[in-house]
Amino acid sequence: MNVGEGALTLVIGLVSGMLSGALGIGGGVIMVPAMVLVLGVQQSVAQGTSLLVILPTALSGAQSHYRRGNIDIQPTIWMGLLGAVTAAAGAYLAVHIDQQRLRQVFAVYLLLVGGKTIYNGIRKSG
Amino acid sequence: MAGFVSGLLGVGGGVVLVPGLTWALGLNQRRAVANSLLAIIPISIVGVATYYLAGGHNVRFELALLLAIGGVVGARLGAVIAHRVSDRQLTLAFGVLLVVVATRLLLP
Repeated sequence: MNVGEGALTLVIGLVSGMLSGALGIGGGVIMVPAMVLVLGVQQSVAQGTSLLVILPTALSGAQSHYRRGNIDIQPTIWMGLLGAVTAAAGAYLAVHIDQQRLRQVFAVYLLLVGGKTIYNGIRKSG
Repeated sequence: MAGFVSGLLGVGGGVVLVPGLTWALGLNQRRAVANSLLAIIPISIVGVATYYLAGGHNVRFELALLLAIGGVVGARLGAVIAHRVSDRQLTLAFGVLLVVVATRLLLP
């Protein structure tokens, strides 16, 4: 990796980190395509690497929110642990089913949820 | 549920967690963001372990280090932004993000 690529990598991290801290996502949705398209990393490597990056990024964002009194540690830890178990199940299943179809179903779900979120946002005051 | 989708598709889980927290549990957007970030941590530990066990080459540490330096700084900036803007703006921004992610999933 040369200096230019290194700088680009830092910027990708910074942008996905900002979206992560502001919107509550891991940042993988930004990092994975950026690694594949900008840095030429293989898809599975980009996914594996992004999951590692999410750890310190989410921790940093979570700590920052915690200082502002916005985190309910107990229920959230339980939810996360439950999610961790099902993540393993999901990763196992991913190998056995049609990925293309799955992506389409999930995309439609996100469009519906995104549409409703925007609608809710518009109706909110302030 | 969030973990299941995360493992299945390699997405973070936040896109499922945040709407779940606001609608099912009635949290405001800012609180949902904060709690989603915490819940993501155990989910990605399992995720990264799964990828690493599937093949050590799937996790590139030198790349992860650089991304994480940017990510850690960015996440703090993001958290500050989340507390400066209104809950309405935060909700709208999240809605737009979901539509963008959906569009990307539909592309090959």
